[in-house]
Amino acid sequence: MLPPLVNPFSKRAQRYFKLEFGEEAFAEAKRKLAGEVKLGLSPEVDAQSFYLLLMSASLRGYASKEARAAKEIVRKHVSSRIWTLLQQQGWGTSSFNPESLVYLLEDFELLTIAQAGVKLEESDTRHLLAAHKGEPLLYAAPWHELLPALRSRRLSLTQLYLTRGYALLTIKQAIECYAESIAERCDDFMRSVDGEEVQDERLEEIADALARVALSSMPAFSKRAGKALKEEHFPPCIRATLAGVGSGSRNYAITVLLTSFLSYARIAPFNAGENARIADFIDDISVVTEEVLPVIYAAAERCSPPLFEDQPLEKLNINYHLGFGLTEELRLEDSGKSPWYFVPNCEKIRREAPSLCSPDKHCKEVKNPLVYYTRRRYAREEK
Amino acid sequence: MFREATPAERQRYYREEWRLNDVPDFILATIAQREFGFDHRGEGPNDRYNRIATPAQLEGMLINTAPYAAYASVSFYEKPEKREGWLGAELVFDVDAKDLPLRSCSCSPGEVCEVCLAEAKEYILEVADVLRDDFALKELHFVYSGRGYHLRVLDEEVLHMQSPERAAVLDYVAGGVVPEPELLELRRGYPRVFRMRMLRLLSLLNLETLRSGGVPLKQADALLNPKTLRRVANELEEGSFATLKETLRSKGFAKFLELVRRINAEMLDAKVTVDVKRILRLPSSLHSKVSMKCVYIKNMERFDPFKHAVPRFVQERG
Ligand SMILES: [Zn+2]
Repeated sequence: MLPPLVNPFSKRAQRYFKLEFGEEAFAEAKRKLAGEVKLGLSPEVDAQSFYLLLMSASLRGYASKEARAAKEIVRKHVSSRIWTLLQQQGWGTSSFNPESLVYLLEDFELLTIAQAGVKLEESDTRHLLAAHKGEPLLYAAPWHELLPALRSRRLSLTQLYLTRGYALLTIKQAIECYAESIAERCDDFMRSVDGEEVQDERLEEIADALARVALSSMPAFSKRAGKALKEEHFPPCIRATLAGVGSGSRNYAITVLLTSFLSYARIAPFNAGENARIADFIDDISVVTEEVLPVIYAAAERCSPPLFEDQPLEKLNINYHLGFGLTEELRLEDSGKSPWYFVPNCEKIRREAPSLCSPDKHCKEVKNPLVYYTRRRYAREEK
Repeated sequence: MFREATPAERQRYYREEWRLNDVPDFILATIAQREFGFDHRGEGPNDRYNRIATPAQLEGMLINTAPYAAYASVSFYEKPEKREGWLGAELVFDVDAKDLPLRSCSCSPGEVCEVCLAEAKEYILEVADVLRDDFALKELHFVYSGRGYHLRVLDEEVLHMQSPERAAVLDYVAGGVVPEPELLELRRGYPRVFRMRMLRLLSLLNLETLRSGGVPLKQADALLNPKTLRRVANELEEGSFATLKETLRSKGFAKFLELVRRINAEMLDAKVTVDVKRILRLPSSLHSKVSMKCVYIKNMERFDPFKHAVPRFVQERG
């Protein structure tokens, strides 16, 4: 019997790709949506149910919340399926052979540390075991296999043990990296298909279900996008920046401070959370291009000398700080390509650009300019 | 030296001294996929979006126009003249001697000398060691930029990396993150990199720097005792922080780790590394502002900017 799929994009899975889907594939897609892991499926139904989820999501755009929900479902599904299979192979018992994971993964370079020939010094083994709560580092993967997990910031390179090009991983980390690499391929897949070609209204039904999953898994506060900017509630440092800044602190004031402040104040004023992306909060890029950027550009123009006159590339840098990567053209689907810089704390601002900080009476109560703004802008509505 | 080159000197340089051979093969082989930028009058590289189809065309361009500065992208494009169809980019690290956060020379801001240039060189070699040892990267190329060094990595596995992963590699090689406390003493891996960066800083530390990082005066003073410093250095090589912790106490130690992290993060120009569409000074071209050559370095150990990067017209200025 063929081993069950752990990679819906492998060659063997892709044979089942088509534009018409049977009842069974729909039923299985719904099970996956509900988070059920069923083994013993026919690989055909299995692969098709993955494609169905992703094609439905692509109807709403590949940067949509539906797309992210579908991707997350695939990621979790792949990971729990691997765990289930490992349990069948004796994971957690003394008879477990670490190589079983190596054979399970498709299109991913993973070795046991014995296979990779990596030898750890005894003291390092001890430290690492302690740091990983007793989980041994059983596996080694070439560090470039980890790029998807680094991109999504599930892993941090400086927390890994790197040697001779290999990153050493616990079994949990190895599975996470693998699942993340599969999740990333979901993006490519959604970009390459067009759900509308299928012409099956059941896809719309699945897309709606994905939207519900997306909304229920989002923290409540993040659903609260901000409202139009009101300058009268800005703190003194932001007002000073809007008035234009001299050459010494120009870059910091405009590219870091003003860009982060205005974007968060307008788009995600309440506790956006780590790894937030602009696309999580808005469906329309014009909020950025028409409400945020013009204010930044106008302030840049008021600097002396005007910021973009001698540093035209700062425009790209602003986009980078908004999380779109170093790009000239802003597209919602690129949101998340770079980190969306959060508003620096007052202390940091005083250090980087002391001239901007002349506190008024409200400043005493806050440590961050954004809080200054949200407290005043939304004060009445809270009550 | 370090005086601006006149238009006549630029012309003389490109007509008499510049050789196509001095442009590294890794650029010539991919010339038509790179975007070229030129600065004709010393106003910054505002002539961009240039595609140069052949080495001969580059030769003609440089000899005829003798630009103030010439640049080529680290990225490859299907259409470099439009910066479209991005195919990948070298991974680049840039250390500029004038921007080093700590230097043992007495250069004023913006200036460089033999001492800080040597410090920049030593540093970029340490970065290269980490890329070789921990990342197993092999295609490492060094360029003298005129005021510092570029390290350009051309291994296949780095070419398609996006900005976030480049930033992650940068943090790793620079020591831009304080390691997890329980991993600080690991013999290999990232904590070793952090310790080596710390080791290099020890000889450059002074009271002012330590105080600026919030290390209490008494502890800072105790650390700067030459005997203590030597002990700390020896222990760091062994992977131990015993004397350092004892001298600084726990609060001072935490402040010190943070200070090291901050200085580490300022050593390399992060924007150069994360920018996947960057243009960099073209090796072989003239850095007219300081009248030095940008040189592709074949033997890094033996390279001396004051021997190998001084154009003839400067030697003859007397
Ligand atoms: Zn110097």
